[in-house]
Amino acid sequence: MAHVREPHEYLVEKVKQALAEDPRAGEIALDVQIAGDTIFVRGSVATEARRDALTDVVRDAAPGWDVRNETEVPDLSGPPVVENLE
Amino acid sequence: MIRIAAVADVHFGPDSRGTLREHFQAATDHADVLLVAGDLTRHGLADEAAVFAEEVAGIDVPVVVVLGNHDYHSDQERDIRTAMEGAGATVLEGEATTIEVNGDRVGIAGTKGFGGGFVGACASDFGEPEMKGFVQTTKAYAARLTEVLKSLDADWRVALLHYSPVEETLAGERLEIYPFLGSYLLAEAIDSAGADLVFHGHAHGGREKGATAAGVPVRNVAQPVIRRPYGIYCLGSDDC
Repeated sequence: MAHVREPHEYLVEKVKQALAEDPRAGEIALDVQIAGDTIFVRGSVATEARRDALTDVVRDAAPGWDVRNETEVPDLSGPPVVENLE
Repeated sequence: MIRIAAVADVHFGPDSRGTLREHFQAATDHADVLLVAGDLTRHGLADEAAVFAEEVAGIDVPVVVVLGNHDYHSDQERDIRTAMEGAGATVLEGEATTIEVNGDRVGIAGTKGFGGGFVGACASDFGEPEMKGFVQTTKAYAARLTEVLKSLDADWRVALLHYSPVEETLAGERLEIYPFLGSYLLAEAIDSAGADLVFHGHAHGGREKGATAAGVPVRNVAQPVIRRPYGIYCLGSDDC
């Protein structure tokens, strides 16, 4: 039987599960999409070090694919927003 | 008037050390209490909680927290609780605490909560033991939340959760994962017992503002949503 490349549908979830379960990541709220030969990862993570580690996690979960890590680290330096509820 | 600083999903680890302490210390200028709505840690490790505990230790306002799903990941939730209590924080799980602020008593009922979904699209207590266990877990959290809210003798009542009680603050998340983000049973508990304000986290892709069916304001204070060290929410004044 000819080799069939893993359907994108399964690969997306394989990557998402790796991002949740791999001790280098532990991220359950990231978005993963595939376009062409590239896996895109988007969402918010807490630190730059964690952001950088995600690329390795995705590469290990999906060898041979290009990885675009488009996650962001929110800038928390702004003043707190105040809401009056009454 | 009470001024509440609230945040969730800080997901602390050793690489987070010092990132919030200065902000939390500054909170004492414009807040009477700091609430943290779960997911203090990244992997649920006591060592991670110890780093977060350093951030809140010694700040001049009461700190009240609930744990989130991440805080249970490594089966170290008891040690996480101990670490936070060692820093002077009050940790709630199916429990309540009352704080006096400027002569007003503020009651906070806290629980992690759980999933299950929302009206018209939720799991049922039916079928396999695993499915029944899932739903019964949420029912137990909701029943306990009702009890502790009703037990509060306070001028202001606040529910502190990790999972969402309403769909409205999940907008932006995929509909398919709503059952893993919260349960209407938590809102039903809040509306039956009564509350003035509800905080939750967990839904990083959601939005900040919502309300229960009875009109109780609900705020999703997940840090990726509010994009601040915390938000300030004032009850009892229109000029906070």
